Amino acid sequence: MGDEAREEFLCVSRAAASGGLLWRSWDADLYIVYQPSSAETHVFNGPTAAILRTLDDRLLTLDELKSHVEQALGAQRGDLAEADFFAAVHRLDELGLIERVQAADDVR
Amino acid sequence: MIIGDLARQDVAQRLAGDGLGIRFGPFNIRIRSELASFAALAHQLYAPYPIPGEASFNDFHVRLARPRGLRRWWRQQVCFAVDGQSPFAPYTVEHAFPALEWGINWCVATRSHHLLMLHSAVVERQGKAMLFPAWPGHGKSTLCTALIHSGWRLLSDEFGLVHPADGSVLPIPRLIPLKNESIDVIRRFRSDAVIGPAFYGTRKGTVAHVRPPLDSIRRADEPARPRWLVFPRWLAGAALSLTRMPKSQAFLMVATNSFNYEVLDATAFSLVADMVDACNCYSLCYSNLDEAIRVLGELADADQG
Repeated sequence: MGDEAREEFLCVSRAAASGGLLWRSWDADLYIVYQPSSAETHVFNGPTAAILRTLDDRLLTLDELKSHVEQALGAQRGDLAEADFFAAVHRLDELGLIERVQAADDVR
Repeated sequence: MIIGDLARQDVAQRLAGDGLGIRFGPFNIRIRSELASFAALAHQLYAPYPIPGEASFNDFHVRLARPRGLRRWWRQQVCFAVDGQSPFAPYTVEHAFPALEWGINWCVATRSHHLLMLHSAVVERQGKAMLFPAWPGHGKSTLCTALIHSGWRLLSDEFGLVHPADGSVLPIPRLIPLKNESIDVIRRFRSDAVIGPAFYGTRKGTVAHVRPPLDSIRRADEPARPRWLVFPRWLAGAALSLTRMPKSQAFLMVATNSFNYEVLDATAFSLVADMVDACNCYSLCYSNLDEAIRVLGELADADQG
């Protein structure tokens, strides 16, 4: 899954559809997020929420993003399992909250 | 003026004529019916409810009418209609009263999107509301009925009506339809409870309607602030347990059992989230009503915040 995802998502950024998200969090590592563009309410775990927050308005490679997310979560580099990280990236992409950019060099 | 100020014959004449106006919390209903049996029961069970002024806006115009066509000669039936449309299959005429009560609830649930509507019983003490969001069969009406006969005020046994302007919960203290075993449970719990006749063999089994205490009906214009979210579950023989529930879980349970969360979009999200912010959230499992009443009273007493 990791290699396949790396080819598919060289870089990612926040999508326009992620504008105006409403966030609430009461319990450790759980975030309830309302997405106005789809009128859906999502439940995100810590890494998934951190991906969205880390991206903000930035364009990052997947390696950069993973590193930033680990830092945001207070984890050591490499602590976040690749399978979990890519599953979260895929889920956010399915929800239209992030955009993938295939050719990193084209946009950098 | 209340329904009880009218003679029974006046109630019957209004029902058969332009309609009998009645106020249930924030809603004015105009009811029409030519059934004499319905008029007698309406006069008895609706007695303390206010009659809106003649110039008041009516939120719903409902009617109990005999169906058209051959069916009316074949079997005695009655249709519930709102604004001239009958959304349900006809009922046997003996079930006209529960049909009207269910029909009015249906009107509220499907046509009141200016409010966030939670599927929840709500009671109040000292201005603070305790909400019992639950799916049918979890015992919320029975618990709610016992509480309102133990010093709590009824806001609703069915609807948590949340005002978008300030998140307060609006009362709609309608009759409470108890089902099956719950009827005798409440008769034993409070022998002085006002309970209407039992309707046997309805679509929901045996049903009897409890009239809320007068104080709840008279204070139907006093909203309350949400303070506790309690998710009840009646289980035969279960030991009482009242345990804290994570707020994220409470949020999801409230949102998913709302009648119109998806209709109100971001407004609903913010209202539910603010409610969860303001409330302590619990899961309640019980089999003994007295124990449940006691522990919920202690919970309210301990919370002076």
